[in-house]
Formats: sequence, structure tokens, C-alpha cells
Amino acid sequence: MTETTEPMLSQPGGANVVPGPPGESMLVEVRGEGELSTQDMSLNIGPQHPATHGVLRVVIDLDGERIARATPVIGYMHRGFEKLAEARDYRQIIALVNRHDWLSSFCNEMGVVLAVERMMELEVPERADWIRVLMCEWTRVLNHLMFVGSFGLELGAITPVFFAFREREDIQHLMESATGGRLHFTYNRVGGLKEDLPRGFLAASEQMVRNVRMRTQEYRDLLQGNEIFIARTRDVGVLDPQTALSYGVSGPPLQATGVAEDSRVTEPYSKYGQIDVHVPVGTNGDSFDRFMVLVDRIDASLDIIEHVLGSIPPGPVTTKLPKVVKAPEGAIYVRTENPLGQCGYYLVSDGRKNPWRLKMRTPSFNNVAMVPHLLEGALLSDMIAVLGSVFFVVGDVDR
Amino acid sequence: MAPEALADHLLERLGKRVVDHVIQYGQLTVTVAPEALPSAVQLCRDDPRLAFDFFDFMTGVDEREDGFAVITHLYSVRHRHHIQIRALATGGRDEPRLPTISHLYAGANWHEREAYDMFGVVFDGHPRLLPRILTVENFEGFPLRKDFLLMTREVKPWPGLKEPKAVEDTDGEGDGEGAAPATGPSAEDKARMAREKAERAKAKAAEARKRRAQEQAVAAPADSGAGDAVEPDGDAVERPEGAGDVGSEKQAQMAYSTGDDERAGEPEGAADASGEAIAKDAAAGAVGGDTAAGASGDVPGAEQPGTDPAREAELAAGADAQPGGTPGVEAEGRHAGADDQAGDRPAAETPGMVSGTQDVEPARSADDVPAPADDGGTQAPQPPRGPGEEEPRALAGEGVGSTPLADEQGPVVGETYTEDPEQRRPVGTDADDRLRDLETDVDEEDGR
Repeated sequence: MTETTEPMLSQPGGANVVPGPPGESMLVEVRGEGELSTQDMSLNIGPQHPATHGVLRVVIDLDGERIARATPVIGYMHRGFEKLAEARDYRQIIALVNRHDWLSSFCNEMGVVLAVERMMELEVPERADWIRVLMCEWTRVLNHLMFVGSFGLELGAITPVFFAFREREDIQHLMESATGGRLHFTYNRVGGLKEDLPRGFLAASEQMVRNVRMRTQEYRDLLQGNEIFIARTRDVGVLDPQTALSYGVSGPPLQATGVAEDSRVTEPYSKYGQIDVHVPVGTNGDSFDRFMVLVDRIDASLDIIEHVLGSIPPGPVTTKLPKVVKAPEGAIYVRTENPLGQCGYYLVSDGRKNPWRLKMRTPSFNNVAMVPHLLEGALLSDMIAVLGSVFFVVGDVDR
Repeated sequence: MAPEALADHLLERLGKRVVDHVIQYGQLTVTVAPEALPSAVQLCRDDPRLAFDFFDFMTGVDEREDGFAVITHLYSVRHRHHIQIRALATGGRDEPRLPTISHLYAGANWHEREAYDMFGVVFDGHPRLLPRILTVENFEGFPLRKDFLLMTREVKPWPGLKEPKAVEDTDGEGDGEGAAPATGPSAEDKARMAREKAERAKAKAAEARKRRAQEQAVAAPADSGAGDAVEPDGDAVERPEGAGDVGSEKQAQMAYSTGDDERAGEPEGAADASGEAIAKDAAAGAVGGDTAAGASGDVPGAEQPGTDPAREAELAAGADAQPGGTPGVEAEGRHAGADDQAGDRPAAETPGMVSGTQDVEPARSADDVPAPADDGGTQAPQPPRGPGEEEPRALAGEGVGSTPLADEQGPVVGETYTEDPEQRRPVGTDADDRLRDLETDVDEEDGR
């Protein structure tokens, strides 16, 4: 940036200093032939910024308009779930893990029940397993719709969020009919499900798949070809696969870099082994790719739902459990592909009815840890496009 | 690579740096020496056959007396295999330290900060562990350590499982647990209930004093016998582990310890009838068990009870009623059996109490107590315990708001009944608990 200004003050070091604009104490240093260089400035983004989906705070050191350093400050929503889990039995933990990522509640439950079931060597009834897959995918659609809407909103497009919430509302109604909850379903139980699906659920699901599939095309029309959207997201926040893996980034941000890592495919759990799961990948690893992967994942989930709707066998949805569910002594790590990435539970049991240690390896924690890498060197105006496209939930970061 | 092949390969490459390896649920966990953690992780990353490129997570685990272990989980996107590298931090519980791996995997930075925040494990060479990542700046303590108690649990009882106790805590400071002030009923109600209770307690205390005077000569020598029998199983070395354990078992254990103390020392001014019963049962259990099983044989007071024929008959009845009442069983239940729920409830005591103290209502038979389905152990009624002791209140806390829950808790169910015959009813309502708080308080005052 070059500008000619009259040097007003001389300093011993040889550098000329001019006062900044009125009302600001910042001094602008003028070097040489009137070339401007700015002093570093720290800027607080959040903790209440709408682009942070919760209370994430990012302290940004600015050099001019460029971000020299970005430091996410997390912990504003730390609720000590891991400590609480140590004082609760496994049924209560299902309700607990619902809440760290409130947009992926059913998928969170899956990780815990799978861990306990594997430790207890429980066989889950076929029907329950299929319904779990169905619910997982509906949760994924719900989650992705939320981010499709909000990402558009952050970039100034208001329509997508209305569209997305219209679908979300319908799907939530559907989920509510089966689980009784709108956000926190708590539909899983160790050994199966809380109860069977209500009558008409499958038919309604089928109808809903058709609706949503039609609508995802609308999102594409609204954003994919939108010049402003492209200008703001193309080549912004480019992530390379090696860095992503080294940070443990997963989900859409990883897949956008071209790595087709998805534990539904690479390490199928539940009934995913019997389903052809399509993993959309990007090529460039930028914000645009991350967003398109997200939209494509909605379609992939709808495909899975259609497959499941034709495969759910009749039968029971629960197994008989001992009165007290106790995981045998030992440790297990179960990872599931959550909407936001890989969610894992590392469960250490000492043979009691509550875990000795339950580590929640949440996708958002690793993904947000990578954010400074993306922001460094980026323009301040790109910050929102970067933050918004990493797709995280702050509760999932802080736990 | 399959976990087994992975293990072989790592053992070959790392040699002596591997301390141990376990394959559980198809997952390989390799324990390495603490100083070898970075080199092991580096090998996992750089060896083309391993190629662990995905940093999954890192976490601390409280390993009781051993301090803290740190688990690093890596995954290979290329080979689709996992590994968990475990290293026990040096410096025990006081100053756990490990070398950092944040220069190997960028993601380890935040995970090490979290492990520091939660467990206090210091990672040497980490660029910046502070400010604390999840807790607030001036937070005191490391919340995921087992000796860190949740504040809510310190000030009021909890319907679920009790808070894990401090590992070093051997002196049973459960006092804080039940210390919640009894609020709720009006002052009038309180006063009335207190009066009624005081009367009952006085009557019992008088009865107890009379009986104790009669029996002290008998009980004292037998006590020493019981003490001897306790020694081998319940020596002090065993205690910290039990004390470090989580939960209601620990609570129960503490209560038993209290009973032990009363028994071993002279029962000083114990006003409660049940406390007396304990002392006497110890005698009954010890003597009955010794004579029946001939255990160790060298009990000094073994002959002495024989000088009182009436007492001897009583003791024999107690012993016959429950042949399992050998001192060894009791000792195990009290000291070493913290992880064995059945062992926590000494089988011999209650029948002994019934036969010994005639003024007590018949003990709740085993049938009355809902039997836990999966607990293979002996179902025994709750052992006697003085109303002035801590346990009833703690248990009352456990029952609060958990009536449906208590039903499914199995082994705990038996413990939701208190030993005082007048209180022998399931807990679960607030009114009950408040009443019991009042009652126990009065007993304490009355007794001292």
C-alpha cells in the first residue's frame, strides 16, 4: 500500500510518525518515500459474533487488513461433560452427550451406545440398527440444512436460511413424532431404541426425502452459481490435506481437501457396511468446496435414507438388559461420522455402572484448532467466510 | 495392518521403549516409556508401513496411585489402522510431566493444553500451555482428577452416584456429604418431630447402656480376636485403593469403617442401641466364627465367652443363624472388598443383631429387599449402624428424587433402607429425608 503523506514528526530512529485519523490514538508510521506501514492492532471477534454459532471468541492481530495472527479463545461454554459423565450411569450419559453438539444429538448418542454395547458384547436387534441409521441420516440432514442456511446468511444471502429452516421444521416434526424431542432426541438406548417408530413414519419419511431433495437443488441454484457467493468463497481459506490430517480435521473441511475419509465407509458401524455410502469430496479445500461438500452430503444422506426405508425389517427394537448396565473393565474407542466430522468416545470402564473416564473427541474441537492456520495471512473481510465454512458448534468445542 | 501385525512391527522397531501392549476390542494400545513418547509418535508418523497421518485425539486418564496416563490416538487414512500410544506421566500425582508431541502433530497443541487444563500434566517443550484452554484464567485445581470434587456434590447429596473420593483420603471425610441443613418443614413440625425422636432415642439409649454394662466383660476380649482376624485382609496398604474408588460402595465402606472403630476401641458413650449391637455382633461373629471354623485357633479370648453360659448360647444362636459369619468375611467386606459389592455387606451381622438385641424389630428379611438381578453375590440385609452415624443421611441423599431410578440400581437398593428399625422404610421422598435428618441429628446430641 503506497500513499504519499507529509511527514509531520521526526523521531530519533529515523522513522516518521503521523497521528492516525481523529479520535484514534493509533499512530501510523511513515517510512521512506511516504510508504505507509501500520502498527499491529488486536481485534476481538466475539464472543457473541453471529458467525461463531455460540460463544467463540477470536482475538485477531491485524497488520493492515491482513490477519497476522488469530487466536481462538474457547471455553466459554465449557460445562464439564466429561466430569459429569463420571458421576452418571450409561442411560444418563445418553442424555448428556446429546448436548455437546446440539445439532447432531442423535449421532452423539450413537457413539456412546455403540461403545457400551461393544464392551458388553450386546447384539442389537436388526430393526433397531436400521432405524438408528435412518435417524442418524435425518439428523445429518437437519444439521447440514442449518449450516447451509447460516453460511449463506453470514455472507449476506438471507433467503437460504429461510428455505433451510422451512425444511428443518418439517424434519423436526417428523423426528418429534418418533422420539418426542425436537433437538435432543435421546432416542437411543443401550441395546436398542427407546421405542418403535410410530405408524406412518416410514411413509412420511419417504415423502420428506422427495421434498428435501427438491429443495437442495434450490440451494444450489441460490448459491452455487451466485457470483457474489463465489467471489467471497473461492480460494478463500484454502486447506491442504496434510495440514488437515495433522490437525485431526474431519468432516466436510477434510473432505473438501480431497480426502474421502468417512468412518461410515472406512470403518462401518451399525448397518453402514450394508449401504453404499457416497462420500463427496472437494478438490481445492477452500470455503466454496467445503460448502459444496456440505450440500452434497445432504443428497448422500437422502440416498441412504431411501435405502434404509426399503430395508427396515420387522421385529423388536430393544434387547433385554440387566437391571444395571455395567460396561466390563477395559477401554474402548468408538468413532462415528457425525455431521460435523469424526466424533469419538474413548470410554474407560472400571466395571461399574458409570465410566471411569469418558473422553469426548469432538469434531469441532480439532476443526477449530485448525482455524488459526486458515486465518493467518487472510484478509479480515474473509474471516467470516472462513469461520462459517469450517462448520462447528461451540458446545462441541468446549464440551 | 491388523492390530497384531501392528504390535509386532512396533515392538520390533521400538524395542525396549515399549513397556507393554494390549489388544482389546480389536484396538491396539502400546504403552511406551514416558521419555520415549515423542520418538514413538514420530516413528508412527514417519514409518511408511505405519503412516499414521491423522492425529485423532490425546487425553489424560487418572490412574489412581500411578498418577496420570496420557493416551495419544493416531489413525492412518492411508492404511486405515489405529493405534493408541499410552505413556504414564513421570512425577506421580504431584508433578506429572511428559515431553510434548505438538511439534509432530499440529493438532496435539490444543489437546495437550486440554490435558494440562484437566489433569495438570505439564508437557515439556509445549509452546504455550497457558492460558488454560477450557477453564477460566484463575481456576484452581484440575477438574478431571479424581480428587477434584464437584462443588454441588460437596454441599449437597446427589441422587446419582457419589462423587469419587480423593485418592489420598483414607480417613473417610464423608462428613461434608450429608451436612446439608434440613430445610423444609416448618419450625413447629421440626420441634414436634425432634421431641418424639428424642424420647425414643432416650429410651433406647438407656436400654443400651444397661446391656453394655452387662456385656462389656464378654465383648472386650472377643473384640481383640476380631481385630486379629481383620488384620491380614484389611491392612492399611489396601485402604487407599478402596478410598480412591468411586461411589456408594465407598460410602458404605466408610460407614463400616466407623463401625470398626467403634468396635476396636472402646465404644465411648455410644448412646445408640445399634452401635451397641455392632459391638456385640462383632463379638458374636468373631467368636462364633472361630469356634465353628476353628480359624487360626490362636484367639486369646476364645475361651472367655464360655464363662457366661447364657451369653454363649446367644452367641451360638447368632453364629448358627449365619454360618458365613467368619471374621475373615467381615474383614474382606470392610476393607479390601470395595470393588465387590456383595462383600460390602457383611452377611453375619444382621442376624446377630436380631438374636442379640430383643428390643429391635425383626430385621427386614432378604425377601423384602428387592434383589438385584445381575449381582451374583449374596443378598444380605443392611448391617446395623448407629443412627448417629453419617451413613443414613448420605443414603437419604442418594434416594432423593430417584425413586424410579433407585429401583434399577440393583445392589444399591438394599442400602436405601436404613438400619434403624424405626426408620426401616424405603427412602425417596423429601419429607422422609428431612425427617431422618432431624432424627439423626437429635440422636447425636442426645448421645454425647
